[in-house]
This record gives sequence, C-alpha cells and structure tokens, in this order.
Amino acid sequence: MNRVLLVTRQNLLRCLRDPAALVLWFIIPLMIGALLVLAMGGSNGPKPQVHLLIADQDDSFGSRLLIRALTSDRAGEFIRAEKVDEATGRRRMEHGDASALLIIPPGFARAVLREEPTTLQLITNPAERILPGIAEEMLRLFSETVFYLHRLLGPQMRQFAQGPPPGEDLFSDADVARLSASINDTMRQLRKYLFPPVIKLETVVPVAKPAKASDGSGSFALNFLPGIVFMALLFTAQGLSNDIWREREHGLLRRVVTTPLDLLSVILGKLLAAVIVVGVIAGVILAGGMEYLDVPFRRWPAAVAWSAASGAGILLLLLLLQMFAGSHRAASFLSFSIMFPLLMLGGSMFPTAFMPPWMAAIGRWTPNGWAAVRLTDILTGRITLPLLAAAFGGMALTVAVLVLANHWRLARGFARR
Amino acid sequence: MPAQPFNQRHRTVIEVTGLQKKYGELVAVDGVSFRAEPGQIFGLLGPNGAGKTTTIGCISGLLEPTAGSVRVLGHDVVSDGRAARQQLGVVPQELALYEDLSATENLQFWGGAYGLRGAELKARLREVLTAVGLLDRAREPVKRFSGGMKRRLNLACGILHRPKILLLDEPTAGVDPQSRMRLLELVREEVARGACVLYTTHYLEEAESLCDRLAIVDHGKIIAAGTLAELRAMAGENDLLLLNGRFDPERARAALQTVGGVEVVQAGPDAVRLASREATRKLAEIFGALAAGGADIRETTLTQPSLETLFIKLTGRKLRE
Ligand SMILES: Nc1ncnc2c1ncn2[C@@H]1O[C@H](COP(=O)(O)OP(=O)(O)OP(=O)(O)O)[C@@H](O)[C@H]1O
Ligand SMILES: [Mg+2]
Repeated sequence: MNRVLLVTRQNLLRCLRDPAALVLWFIIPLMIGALLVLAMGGSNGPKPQVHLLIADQDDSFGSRLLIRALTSDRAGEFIRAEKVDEATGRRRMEHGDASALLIIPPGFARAVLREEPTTLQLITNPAERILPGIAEEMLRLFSETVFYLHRLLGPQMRQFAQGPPPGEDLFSDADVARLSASINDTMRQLRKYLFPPVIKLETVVPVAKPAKASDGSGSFALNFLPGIVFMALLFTAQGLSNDIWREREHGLLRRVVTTPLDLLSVILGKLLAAVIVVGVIAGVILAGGMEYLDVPFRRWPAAVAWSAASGAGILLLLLLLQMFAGSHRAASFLSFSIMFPLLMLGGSMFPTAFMPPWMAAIGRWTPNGWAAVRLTDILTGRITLPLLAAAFGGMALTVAVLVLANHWRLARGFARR
Repeated sequence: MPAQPFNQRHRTVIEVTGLQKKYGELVAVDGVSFRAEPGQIFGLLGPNGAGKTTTIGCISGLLEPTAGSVRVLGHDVVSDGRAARQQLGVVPQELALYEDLSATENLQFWGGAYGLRGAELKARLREVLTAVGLLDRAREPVKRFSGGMKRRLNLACGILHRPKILLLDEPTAGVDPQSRMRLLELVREEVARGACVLYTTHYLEEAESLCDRLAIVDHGKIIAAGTLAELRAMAGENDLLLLNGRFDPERARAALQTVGGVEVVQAGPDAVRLASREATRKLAEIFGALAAGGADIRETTLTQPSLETLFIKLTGRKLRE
C-alpha cells in the first residue's frame, strides 16, 4: 500500500504543478454548461481573459493567419490580442502588463510550410500561472495541427513554399489549377472522415424544444449534467493517461523498473490519483449543477462515487490504448480520435434523450454513455439500491480486468523500451 | 533499512558470467564476465556503442540477458529480481527525473521506491542535497535546473538509500569540472562506506583517477581487464615519441642508431615515430642526433604509456574517434 501511495502522491503533485491543464479540464465542460445555462436564461459571470501581446516579425500571410486564428471570434472570448514590436512587448512584459508575449520569428510561415524547424517564442508572465498556460495550450494545438496538415497536404504545402517555377513571377494557371485540384481531392477524401453525417446533427441541439425532454426525469436541464460531468472525466482521463508517454520518454519508467517498486503499484497508484482528481472535479461540477437544478444533496455522494469509478475505468481504457500506440504523437491522436466520437455518442455534446433513437441506442452502449445513464438515474433518484450495487460491482470488475491488462502491457515491454 | 555490515560470505557482490545481449542480429554485449567487490570502484571503459549501458541494463534488471547470468549479492537478477534490485542504486545515463517536481520531491519519490520512509528519509534528504550542493535550490522545480544540476540530482536519487551496489552510467557527462569533482568525491565517499561501484565512462582521465579495477570494452567484448597498474604494464613501458618535420628517412635511422635504447617504429620524409623508455630524458640526445643527420624538427609529441596507448595497441583505434 505504501508503494501505491508513493506513486499516487507523485502523480497528484505533478497534476498540481500543471494548473493550466487542470483548469482546462474544468473549464471546457463548464463553459459548455455555462452556455447551456445562458441559453436557458441563466446568468453568466466574468470570464478569464488572456491578454496576449504579439510581435510579428515575419509579417507574412502565414503569420497573419495565425494571429487571425488566435483572435477569431471564438478564441477572442478568451484572448485579447494586441500587436506590438518586440522591444515594446518585452518592456511591457517586464512591467507585468500582459499575460504573455508571443514572438513570431522572421521566416516563420515559410518554415512552417516546408516543415522546417522554427520556434515560436512565448514569454509568459510569471505572476500569472493559469492564463499564460491557456495561451500555451492553444499554440501547442496549432503546432499539432501543422503536423497533421503536413501529413495530409505536405506536397502541396511544400510546392507553395518553393514559390513559382524559376524565371516566373507567379504560378501558372495550370499549376494553380493542379494544386487546388489536388488539395480539393485530399479534402474530399478527408471529409468522409471528418464530417460524417452524424456530426451534422450537432445543429439539432434543441434548446428551443424542451417539451420533448420530459421522460419522467423531472427537470429538462438535468439531462445535460451527466454529459457535462463525463466530458470533464474524459478530458481528465485523456490528460492523465497521456502522461505515461511523457514518463516513458524521460526514461522514468525504465528507472522505475530498476527499483524494487513493482509496476502493479505504478498502475494502482496512477489509478488512485485519477480517482482523486476525477472525484474532485466531478464533485465540484455535480455540486454546482445539483444546486442549480434543485437536486436533493443526499444523492451527491453516490453520484460522485459513481463518477469517480467511471473516471477510473475510462482512464484505464485510454491508458491501455495509448500504450499500444507506436509513438507519443500517435498515442495522443489515437486517444483524441476515440474521445470525440465517445463524447458525441455518449451524450456529452447533447443529451441522449434528444438523439435519434438509433444513435441513442449506440450511445447508451459506449462506456461513457452507459455510465452517464446510470449517473442520470442516480441524480433523478430512479435507481434502486440493488441496481446501484450491481452497477458498482460491474464497474469494479471492469476496472480489475483493465488493471491487469494495463499491467501486462506495461511489464511486457512498454516500461522497458 | 539501517546500514548493516556486508555479509562476509558474499565477498563478490557483482558476478557477471558469460553475459550476452542481442538486439536482433546485433550483439551488443558479447560474452562479458567480471566480478566486483565491496569497497571497490570497478570501471567499464569503452567508446560509444561499446555495450556499457547494455551491460548495466542487464545487471539492473531492465534488460533480460540473451545468455549468461548476473548475480547481485548472490541473487540472480532474472529469477530473484526483486531481492537483487533492493540492493542496487542505479543512476541511468539519461536524466530520469520528474521535471515538474522539485529536487526534494524527486528524492522523496526515488528514495521511497527503495523503501526509504519517515525520519530516515528526511535525514538522508538533507545530507544528500548538501552533498550535491542543491540544498538551497531544493524546492524549485527541476525543469529550471541547469544540465549539470540535473546530473547531480540524478546521482543523488540513486544514492539516497545507501545502496550496497551502485551502478553509475556516465554520471558526469556534460558536467563542469567543479561539479565533476564534487560528484567524484561523492562516489568515493560511498566506496569508503563499503559500497561497490560499477562505473562506466569514456573519459580516460576519470577511469584512471577513480577506478580500482577496470575492464576495457569494445564491440561488446572485454578486451583487457585488471588493476590500473596491470593495464599500464600491458600497454608496455615505452613512451611513444612522434616527431614532425622534414627528414631524410635513411639518415635519420642511421643517426638514431647512435642513441641507446631507442627503437625506430617508423621513419618517413615528414614524420618519425620512436619508442623508448623514459623518452623525456633522452630528448636532447635524440634532437642532437637527428640534427646531425640533417633533420628539421617542427613539432614533438610525447605519449606516455596509458590506457589510451593500450586501447590503440589493442584495437588500432583511438578511444574517442
Ligand atoms: N534498444 C536497442 N535496440 C537496438 N539496439 C540497441 C538498443 N540499445 C542499444 N543498442 C545497440 O547496442 C550497442 C551498445 O549500446 P550501448 O548503449 O550499450 O553502448 P554504450 O557503451 O553505453 O555507449 P555510450 O558510450 O554511447 O553510452 C550499440 O550498437 C547500440 O546501437
Ligand atoms: Mg551508454
């Protein structure tokens, strides 16, 4: 037990050192919740806003595009961007005048198009811990995007970067046509995966027709709460599980193998840390939601316990998945690409009650969808004690099997390479 | 786990026999055997890719040997791994530290992994942090440390629990001379306490000044082993003297015949190589003879018998090529 607690402590400490991630796990689901509340006529408090200074030394089409992305309407809610020159920017950072200063180096866009190494410098305000973290997360997202764009449109992007053929000022019409045709092709193929018909249903979010929601569950908004909780759980589990790759890349798992600490303790320690983090996050969201929705508080402990147990299961599932990936990047990609369909089908984007029946049927059998239905039942008080016990029993069994599977994978190679 | 005297039955604390490790076709370690004793620093000296880290990996239980056996205080590292690992302190070549955590938190975790707890852990923390000169930075996250500071912490995490056997894989790589001295001092202290240290390096000077016994490895094999004195003797007693300039090879040879105890290894139009005992004492005589033979000497290089010359003699290559 000591060994397990040792690992748990280490994982929790590291979680606390990354408040930006913690806040994101909280904030994204809460924002969606807030939006829903807003749509339903609730009020909304002030939002944290990142004050970002940008020194654009590249001043190219590409760098302007990046700036535009950072200041787009949607991002603009969180980021207030201001263009400055580098010297002014640095001076103002020294005075603690902004959350962060982003320096886009000369030749940045060109390097991005050619997939050459380039560095975006982000100088953050040491006095603020969370807001600069959010700016950093967004930039990281951008660099990931560039990576995938290159996988998809690499040749075309490089051709653009090379400029027109020697001796000519512009690309010929034929060149442009060929290039755009090939981009079009790629996009068409991609659309099959990116925009499957199911996702079009997103517009269905039926804020305007609450009547349909009454299936005896009481409040209309109660349908949203489990989805929001599970979105937070999935984000948290994704973040925590991805960490195993960081540990491996730093040689930390290899070092653990040379100590008397056994790998089962490592898995159990991580699991316990996840249960605690997830329990706190779910506990806060549930408390807020239940207060808002007038759900009796005596249902809170069971709801939190169930959420924490589900979070443990999801963590182990994602952990196992990531340990089968070939690289850190592939692992992130894999778990993200399984997470979004799960969120969608499992009722986190919009409640299962509003889905077409076939979709709801699938959704109920996704792990998070299944668990979210139990959570709804707990919150509405519909679940009986024997059923609740059975649900916890089933979850415990699942977790036990997943622990063994994870241990097997870790011991049989992942930790030793 | 209080420090206790070593079990006298186990004079040999590390016993490696016929160790082999293959990665597919590549034989990274090829039949390595050696023993190391308490209170002794055993050095594994070899160029990049010689198989030092792989050997350490097999001893620490990280890698499973393809053939051969490793015993640590009598425990087989494969069949009785947990007991063997309990006796070890491993300092990996890579900096395996939690960058978000502070030095103290890292030490608490790695110390805890070896079962160190409570008051004992607390006391050792202070001692070790002081020893590696990080006491005043102990609460900062490790990611703010310099490379040398991380190296020092990396070592500290491996010695916190006072292991009977320390496996150190190039613990001083990239460390400034002052920090290096400090680290080596720390290693010597562990040895004085009775620990057995297995130390890999490709720094000759370090191997020569630190190790009691040495094995020189190349391409996965031990090509020479023994105490420093034994290895020096293998290198031969002759100093090597390299003279660059302009020579008439025939006349130079003839002229050098007149100097006693000098062997001409090679004579060419722009370089002459000599071997001689205590060449420094004969320099004037050699220069005089060559000048009389019409030679014009521009540069002189004297190499005393060392591990370097032994390595050249055994492999025909320099250690750091
Ligand atoms: N995981 C691995 N897979 C395949 N080959 C490996 C692996 N690890 C090491 N090798 C190979 O084994 C050989 C020995 O490597 P090793 O790391 O033991 O050398 P070393 O003596 O520690 O070198 P250095 O001084 O550079 O640290 C090298 O040829 C290396 O390429
Ligand atoms: Mg090595």
